[in-house]
Amino acid sequence: MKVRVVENVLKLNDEVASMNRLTLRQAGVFTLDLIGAPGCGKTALLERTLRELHGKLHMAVLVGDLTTTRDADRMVQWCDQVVQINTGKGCHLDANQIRQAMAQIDLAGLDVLIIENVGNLICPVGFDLGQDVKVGMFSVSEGDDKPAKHPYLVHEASVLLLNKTDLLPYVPFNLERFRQDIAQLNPNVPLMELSVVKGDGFDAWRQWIETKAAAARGAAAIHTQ
Amino acid sequence: MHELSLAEAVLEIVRRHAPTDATVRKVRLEAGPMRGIDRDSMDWAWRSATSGTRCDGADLDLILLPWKMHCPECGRDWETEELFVVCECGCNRPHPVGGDELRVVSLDVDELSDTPESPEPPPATQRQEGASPS
Repeated sequence: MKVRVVENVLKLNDEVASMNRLTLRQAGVFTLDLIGAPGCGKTALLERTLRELHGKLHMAVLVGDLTTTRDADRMVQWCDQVVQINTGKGCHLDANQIRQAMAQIDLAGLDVLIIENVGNLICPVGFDLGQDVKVGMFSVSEGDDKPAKHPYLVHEASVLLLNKTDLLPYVPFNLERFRQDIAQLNPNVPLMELSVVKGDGFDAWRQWIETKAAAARGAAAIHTQ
Repeated sequence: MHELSLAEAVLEIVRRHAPTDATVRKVRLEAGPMRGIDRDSMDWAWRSATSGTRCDGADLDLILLPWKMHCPECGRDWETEELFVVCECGCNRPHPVGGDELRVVSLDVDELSDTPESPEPPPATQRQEGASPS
């Protein structure tokens, strides 16, 4: 006997993600899911972001790693709401882990929630967490072929970052090819080229977050009127 | 190794859709190329996830779907195995549309016995498939 099903495999995850999204939007929180390979600079990006926006925006971070609290330890000096999620063997975060971690932070008065996903360009992309946007992060030292090899992330991302541009003179990296591959996979996605360590290009990223946070706050205010 | 998470999610769907006393023979799963699913890894993950469950031994029939491309110049839509291709019209910027499909489409199950609430006697002709009533 054949049983016809036609059901999305990640339906349960997606349902929890929708609950997360509703909760966060009603609270006026702008939420981004940061996805990139190990070593591309995700934690360094967040450290600098938290530092530069300290006192301007209330931010919280959920950080996923297989093990250790090292990332949370690095960020906690700039942010009092950092929750480390240890995934054990899991190569990505799922919506239920975010639901549980959200219970540990105070959403009232929060402007921005950043979810630093497990370092991985593949698995995290398919799991909706309830974020407003996915941000894909590459770095010069990984090579210019990473967008072409990871089309799902490029396609799904609302913003892409290229970090470590200060290394361009020292590393074989064809910037034109990198840009072309992205343009073919996701013609309209903004690409921000920056160096977290040196600060080049960082203003655009910081201003983008400020704009998005203001929009999320405004949308929630309209919603509750 | 997202295949293991996916295998567990597929198993959960089977649990909800297969009749409780049925033996599951085959699960058909369709996956778009965006999902980056490796067939061997998925096979291994499925065997691992189903071990000791009612799906133990069931085949996972994984259908890997092709890319669906759209040309911004001539508007043509087509399917292909290659992602970075040039359109027939010469445009070198065709981009993928969709490709993130991931769905269980059907299950093949053997029913252990005829359902007791069936008011009709067993048909005279032999059933096309299914286990014997004993």
